Amino acid sequence: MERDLEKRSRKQRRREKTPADKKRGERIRVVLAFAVTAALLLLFILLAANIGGIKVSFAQLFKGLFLEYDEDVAIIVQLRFPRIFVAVLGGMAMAASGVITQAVMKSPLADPGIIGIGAGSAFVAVLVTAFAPALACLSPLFSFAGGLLAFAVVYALSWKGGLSPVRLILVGIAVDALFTGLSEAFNQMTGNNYSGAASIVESNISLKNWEDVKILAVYTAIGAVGCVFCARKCNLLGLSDRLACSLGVNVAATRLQVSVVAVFLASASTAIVGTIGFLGLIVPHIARLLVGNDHKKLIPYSALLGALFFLVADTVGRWIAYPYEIGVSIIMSVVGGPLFIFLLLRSKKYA
Amino acid sequence: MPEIPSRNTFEFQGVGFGYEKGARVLDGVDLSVPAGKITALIGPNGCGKTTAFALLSRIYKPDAGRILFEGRPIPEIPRREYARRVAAVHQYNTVPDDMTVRRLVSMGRTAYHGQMFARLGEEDHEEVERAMRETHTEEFAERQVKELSGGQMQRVWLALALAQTHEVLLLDEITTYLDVYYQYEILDLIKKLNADCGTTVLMVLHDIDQTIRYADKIALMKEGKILAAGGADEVITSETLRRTYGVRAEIARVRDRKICIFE
Repeated sequence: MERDLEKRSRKQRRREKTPADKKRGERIRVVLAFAVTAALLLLFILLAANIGGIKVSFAQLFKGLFLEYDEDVAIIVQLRFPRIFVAVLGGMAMAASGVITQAVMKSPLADPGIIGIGAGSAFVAVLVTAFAPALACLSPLFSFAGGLLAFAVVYALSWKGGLSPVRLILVGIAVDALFTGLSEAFNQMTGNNYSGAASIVESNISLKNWEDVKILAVYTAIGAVGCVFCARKCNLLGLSDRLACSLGVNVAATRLQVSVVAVFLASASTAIVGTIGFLGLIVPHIARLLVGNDHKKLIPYSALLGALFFLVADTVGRWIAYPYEIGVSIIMSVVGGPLFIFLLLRSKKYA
Repeated sequence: MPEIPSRNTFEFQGVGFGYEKGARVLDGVDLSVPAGKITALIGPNGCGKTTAFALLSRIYKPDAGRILFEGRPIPEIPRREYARRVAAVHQYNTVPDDMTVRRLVSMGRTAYHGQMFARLGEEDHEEVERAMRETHTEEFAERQVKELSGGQMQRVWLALALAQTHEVLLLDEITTYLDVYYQYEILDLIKKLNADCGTTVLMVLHDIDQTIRYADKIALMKEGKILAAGGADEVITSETLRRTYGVRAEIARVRDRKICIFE
């Protein structure tokens, strides 16, 4: 909120300035946005490490981490850190996937968590976790296949001589409902016996361990490399297809390559974290207000902001009704819904 | 009377195309677009002009026949190589919210780089500045495209095409949305580019008088076919206008220039 106001007042002051000033002002705003978000993320990582039954001072934490063994710190490292890193990496992957999905679909309302990609990945991840737990480190790859399947269905059904945003959302919601239903049905049929599978269905990240962090880190890193290759392509896809085509871009191929990266990121995060709605929708939305539409800045900034958002949501869920916990996806929905409505009302485009 | 050119930039050979099966939008189009000349494509709404442009921009492929670019079938030419020679201004354009004029015009250099880590070099910057100078868009280079007026915006789209290449320009109804002053301004600019740089131009126009004034060659199109093609004297007659548009018109000469008077 405060940042928003600050931004608006800066915008007003900028009106009277020359283009050169405007350009510099914008650059400062972008740098500031990155710096403030990164600082907040760091702060929340430390804060999140310290919420719960055991409390340690920062000095103790630092000492225990890098200098000597400390029992309390060891417990924190074993139990809380994996959860924190899973939240950070999952938030990054999901938000980046959201931005890229929106570029591919040419719709600011496309969110992999809402239009079925997440649900498709989750369903396959649930099956793998239940029937072949030994393949855990490959589960992002399986869920990638599920995500691709869901994406292909949504894309094919919403294509009618061009992408219609409304059709896309409608088809997406239907596909999402189908896969979510399948996952839940499977979960109930087996009497919630497969706790790993249930944690994906319920998007519960409280029992994540270092193994999960490792898997997610590897796949997110691969996705990040993909993002580097994507940024400029996303900018080109922001132009009309005809224009992109006459600029020498093979639009169909570009769209396919970029989609694969988006689905990969969404699936990697879903395989470990479960489906999270709204994150891929709200975070890019706010990020656009702060750093603009250039994907070279938008993708990395969304990833950063996504990490912060997700970690804050998870931490709040742990803390608000302590010793009980509220799942992170529930927090995301409860906070994300109204926030999204607020953003919609604020934006002139959809008013 | 324009001389018969020895070299054709484009050659349509029996080109057919339909968006859906059964409905032919283009039906056996034969047309040559001479190099270094201005060719105008005119015809009623829905006659297939924009579709012909879409084929030239390689958005779609012909179902029948073929299109040659300097004697080579278009699909044989790599996309980027083609885009370095042929640029287009389309009828409808969308642009992201905070895109500035300079950034948009810079995207005209896309075909000169890989699509991943392009850094614009000195030559790119020169071409971008030149294109903005030629179209008089440099004074609002840092402004956002969506803040511009229709006339300014149209010149920005032209600048984008010029940053791409000066060789061949495809212009789809570039004068639409413009008032008379800007219409003639942009057409004069195109004429000047054609004279100075030898730019080959293929454009869709709606105003027949403008066509007569600016085009070296005129192609009349109706229902996916070329009805007549050639110089203004042979192509623009009462008879062809009646056949194409179904209107009665008289061709008069005022101050040595042909004009159309519709009844």
